[in-house]
Amino acid sequence: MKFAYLALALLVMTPGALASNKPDPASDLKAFQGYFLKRFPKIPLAAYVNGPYDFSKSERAQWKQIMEFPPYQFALDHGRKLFEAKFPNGKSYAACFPHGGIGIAQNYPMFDPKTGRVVTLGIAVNRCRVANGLGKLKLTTGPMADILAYMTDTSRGKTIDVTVPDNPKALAAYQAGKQYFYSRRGQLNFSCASCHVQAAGMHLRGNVLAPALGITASFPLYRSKWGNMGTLVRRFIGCNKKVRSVPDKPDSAAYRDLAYFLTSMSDGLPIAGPGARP
Amino acid sequence: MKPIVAILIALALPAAASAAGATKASAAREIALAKPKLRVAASMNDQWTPTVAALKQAETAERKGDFATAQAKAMRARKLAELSIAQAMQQKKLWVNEVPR
Ligand code: HEC
Repeated sequence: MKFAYLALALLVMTPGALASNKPDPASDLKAFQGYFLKRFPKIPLAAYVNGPYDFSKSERAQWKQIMEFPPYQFALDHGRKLFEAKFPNGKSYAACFPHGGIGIAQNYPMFDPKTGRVVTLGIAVNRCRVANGLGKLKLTTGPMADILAYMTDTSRGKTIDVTVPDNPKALAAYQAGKQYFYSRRGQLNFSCASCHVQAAGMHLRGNVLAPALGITASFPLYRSKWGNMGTLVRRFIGCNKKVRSVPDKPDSAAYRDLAYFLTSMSDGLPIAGPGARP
Repeated sequence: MKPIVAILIALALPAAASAAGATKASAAREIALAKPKLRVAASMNDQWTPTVAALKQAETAERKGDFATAQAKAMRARKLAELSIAQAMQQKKLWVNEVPR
């Protein structure tokens, strides 16, 4: 009897183990989006950017009301001022980005072939600052979240397009992010997928678990529980702590790669940030 | 079943005994044994928050001269670190089972 189980377990595990050898973002994308579309046939692909609001009528009603005066509006205005301000050397953020930084958020995180690393939009903003003799900003909240709110707003509605190039380092970063997302960690032994794939749409202590599809599209966002703006890495840190796992550094390779994988799984969905959450 | 219980008791006894008769030296030794385990867990990207908390409590107790607490907390930190290392090792294989297909 036990042997039969073991044999069965091996049978089930082998295709996965083989498939994990060679990263294949395109077929991952199909399987990932297909999984959610099949499981929740009433929710159209683009609606996944609404996260928890697709699954809770009461939260959705609250949200509609909140959005009459979006709580991120101050951050947006402040972010625009910061973005347009001149650095002491006379240059500004615009010079660091294609298209002057307008309408480009849908292409981040991006693989940088020069450094062989993934660059999130926040890290790109900090690179720009350093190149112009300024210090880095904190990546989780504050002025950085405001700048990202403005930049993201100029991409609102544009299609997320984080295509992993056929470069061994880019594929390795993608694969590392994928492995991080599906690995159980912390004393509570949960993976990101335990909550945001397997338990997507269910309730946990009064919160709706947002499905992993579209989960990055509304960042940065204003969260009532925080009382201010937060970036995607702020969320990573919070979710790591929930399972009693020590969070990584905001600019760590682990979080860059995680953001890379997770955002690429939302390819084809529209940017919906900055957003608002309970 | 019985032999397992016996082994568990045998394992637990010396630990309890040594925590009871903790000295400055034995507490320091337990802390020194815990630290490399925490480093391994961190390098595997799977440190648990209670592990870090236990080591901190051990070091605080050591500074206060409470060697019994220091020793017990250090042992707990090491145990938790070992569990997280085992988790990280297992996940290197098992993570693929969570991928939707
Ligand atoms: C124990 C379950 C749990 C785990 C594990 C978990 N999260 Fe979460 N996550 C939540 C909950 C609950 C929320 C929303 C409500 C809240 O903030 O408390 C959330 C919210 C989020 C959001 C914001 C969604 C939105 O639309 O506002 C993101 C992004 C996110 N999690 C990413 C992750 C990542 C990446 C991981 C793995 C490192 C992870 N989560 C692990 C429970 C979890």
